[in-house]
Amino acid sequence: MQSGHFTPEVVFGLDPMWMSTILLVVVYIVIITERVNRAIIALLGAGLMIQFGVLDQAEAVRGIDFNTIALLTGMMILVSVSRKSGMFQFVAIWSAKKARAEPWRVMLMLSVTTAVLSAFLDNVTTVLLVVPVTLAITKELDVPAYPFLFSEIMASNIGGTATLIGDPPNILIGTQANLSFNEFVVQLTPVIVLVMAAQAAMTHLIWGYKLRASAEAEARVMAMSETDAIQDWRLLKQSLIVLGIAMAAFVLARPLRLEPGTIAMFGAAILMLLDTHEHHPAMQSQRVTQTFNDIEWVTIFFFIGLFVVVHGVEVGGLLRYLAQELVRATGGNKEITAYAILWASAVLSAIIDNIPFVATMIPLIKSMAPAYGGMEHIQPLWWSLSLGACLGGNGTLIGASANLTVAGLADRAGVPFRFWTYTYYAFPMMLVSVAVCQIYVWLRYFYV
Amino acid sequence: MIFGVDPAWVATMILIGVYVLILTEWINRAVIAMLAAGLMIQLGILDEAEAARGIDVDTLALLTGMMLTVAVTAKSGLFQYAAIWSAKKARARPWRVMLMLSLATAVLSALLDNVTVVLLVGPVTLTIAKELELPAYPFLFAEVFASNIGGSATLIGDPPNILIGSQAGLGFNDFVVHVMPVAALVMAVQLLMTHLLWGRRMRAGAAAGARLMAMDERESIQDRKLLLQSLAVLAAILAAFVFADQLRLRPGTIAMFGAAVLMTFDVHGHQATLQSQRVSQIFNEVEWITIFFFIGLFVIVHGVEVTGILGRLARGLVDLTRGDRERAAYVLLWGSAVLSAVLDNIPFVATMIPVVKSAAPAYGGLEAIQPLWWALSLGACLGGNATLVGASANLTVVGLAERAGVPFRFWTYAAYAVPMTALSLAICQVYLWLRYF
Repeated sequence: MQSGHFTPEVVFGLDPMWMSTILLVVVYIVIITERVNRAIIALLGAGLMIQFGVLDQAEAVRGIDFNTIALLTGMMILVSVSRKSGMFQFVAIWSAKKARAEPWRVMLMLSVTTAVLSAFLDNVTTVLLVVPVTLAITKELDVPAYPFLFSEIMASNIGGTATLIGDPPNILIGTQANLSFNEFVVQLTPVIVLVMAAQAAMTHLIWGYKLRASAEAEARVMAMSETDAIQDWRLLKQSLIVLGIAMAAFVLARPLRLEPGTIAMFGAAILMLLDTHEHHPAMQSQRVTQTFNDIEWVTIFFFIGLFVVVHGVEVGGLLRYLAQELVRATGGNKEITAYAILWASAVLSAIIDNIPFVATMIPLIKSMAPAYGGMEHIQPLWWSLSLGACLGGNGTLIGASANLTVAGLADRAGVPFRFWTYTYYAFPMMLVSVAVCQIYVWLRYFYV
Repeated sequence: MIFGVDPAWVATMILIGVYVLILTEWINRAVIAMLAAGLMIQLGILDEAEAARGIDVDTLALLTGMMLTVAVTAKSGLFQYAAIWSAKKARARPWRVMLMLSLATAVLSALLDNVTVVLLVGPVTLTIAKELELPAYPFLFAEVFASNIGGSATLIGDPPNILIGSQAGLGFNDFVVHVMPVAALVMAVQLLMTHLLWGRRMRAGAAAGARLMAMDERESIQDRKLLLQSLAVLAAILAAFVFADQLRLRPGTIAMFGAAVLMTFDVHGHQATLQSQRVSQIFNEVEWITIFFFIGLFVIVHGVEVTGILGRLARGLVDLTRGDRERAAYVLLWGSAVLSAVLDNIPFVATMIPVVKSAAPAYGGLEAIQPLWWALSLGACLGGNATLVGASANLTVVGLAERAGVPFRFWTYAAYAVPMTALSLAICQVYLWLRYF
């Protein structure tokens, strides 16, 4: 994540830090007001970052996280092809019947599944698999999809915090601070279980207890046969095998020395091959084009643009400036530093991508180690950073990749996600979850 | 070592396998390129960071940006307008239309990126062919050739020339003086051949011709405001391409930014959900098969390059000539033509430049090897004509044509294109001999 030796040369001799910050703010305002489609505004913002000289094209490209883009694209292709087999419908009906068609049970089941999957898989991958099932269930039960999707966003970010491999910030912290998989499990998983429980309680109070499926819908779902939903048995088997291999490869990504993006794209290519190979060339082109058109391009290009804009802010120096101010303001007291890191990274991660922020914070926290008696003694600071950065992403719709992915999928299915209505519920909930973490950090590390 | 085999050979086998599968068309080319790129990484020939370095993001951004711009512009009816207008100017005579379109393609390609040009001319051509009830294939074929020939004429016409110019210290004017005359000659011969093959036999039906002459091009305009906006954005993009160096902007940035501006014009004022729909629709107009094919191919070629096969080939070529400058020029001309016909010419030229440079003392210094640069440029640019995979513009035309229901098959294309390319190279060989030796 460190930028190279690129020096911004901003037009009109303006300060690159303020220039890039203003651009970021303007882009965010347009995104929030939804005056212009978010893919377009992100691309415009990215282009302006380059034209104002904050970045050149090569540096801008370095800011694009191709692994995330490839992962998103690959998973969207996998989901698009396997959907044709009727697989998601099958899982939806099966699980709705298991939950006896009671919406709150379904919601709880889906949220917990999302959280557990997110702990081991990438959050974006998880929601890409769970959302189609959710949309199918809510349609059958004739209940609004919004509360389900909302609670899945929260669950994916919460679950992702629990392990070293659950979320990119944790991978960064783990590798650069030399913390093992087990340390994350011992230190973070307990508080995450707690946060998840609190989250489920809040969701229940706001939506869960009111959700009722009509008697007919309930009866209809219970009478459905999940096997009838299968459209193409051969494709179903092929999809399951490819998805299974991809999941296994995700979990074993590190020993295999493959990035999730490569795995997803390769899996997508294999499934497309199986889906098209026996047709003649013109028909193959058509099917492949159809699959590519199922990709949520608005989301992909939004990410590309946003990566460049945020990279501009990073190169401009704003993150470094904020991080240094944070360290200076809390100087000397480890407990206060831990809380400041927790809350500041939560609020910042709600607004900007948490990966560059964490990447900027890591060297600064490392540099504090001698003052607190060495690397072993600053462990609470790492956990605060991880909890703040990962959970903070829940605060707004643009706080984490999974949120945007869900919003994109939902938009396409006719379930609009608006910035303010989401933030209205999500931000307070995020504050509650961080408060739970604050108490945990205090009790576990500072309460003698 | 991979299973005890030299990685260079594994990479070469993958490359050959990909080409075989593309030729037989058993598997869609985007799928096979992605699979092979994945194999390159899984077999350890490349790691992910290295593979990503092989992907020319600038080209991809340029392609995507221009495709988006063209997709929005098409909604305004501009291409129909231009098609009807020019077909009427040519009095609905197919050969005149073809000549006009080929020349326009060649001239534009000399100034703009070839891919951009065919993306602009392709839709116009398809519309005219449809109106005149003629097969689009000969038109598109002629345009592929025109774009590569035109591109070879100037420093900025083709990426290999940009590479050669910047790394060998040759200016815009050097290319105009040394390469443009022969490019013009080659173009004239090419037009003659196209005339003999297709042009003289093509007749539009009397009814189609009369109907076309009776058409009013102004009626084809669907949205006047969008038309003006499209024209303004296209003009700004083209101007920015020409002044790209002074603006310190890369073509990819310019095209993507232009596309974003034009999309803003197209969607703003609508409510958020409708905007998403319109934007998704525009994105679906992008030739994703072409884009993903390029991504895969960039990785595969980079894999072959990393293993050093291209370097070995290049050194072999120099050894062949035993220090004779004239022979070296001819070997470069034909060798780079053959390789450019099957490989992407950009990595090949990038590999050849240092080899030629380091061989300069043997041929009498940097001044004396100028003919070698021209030979390399002509071979690499014109060689791309010989097969469908020889140049980006060819593949882009194929993508456009396929979508419009005009199939381009590898072998039927090569059957005409290989002899034509050989002839154009022979002309270059004569030119090099007369002018430099």
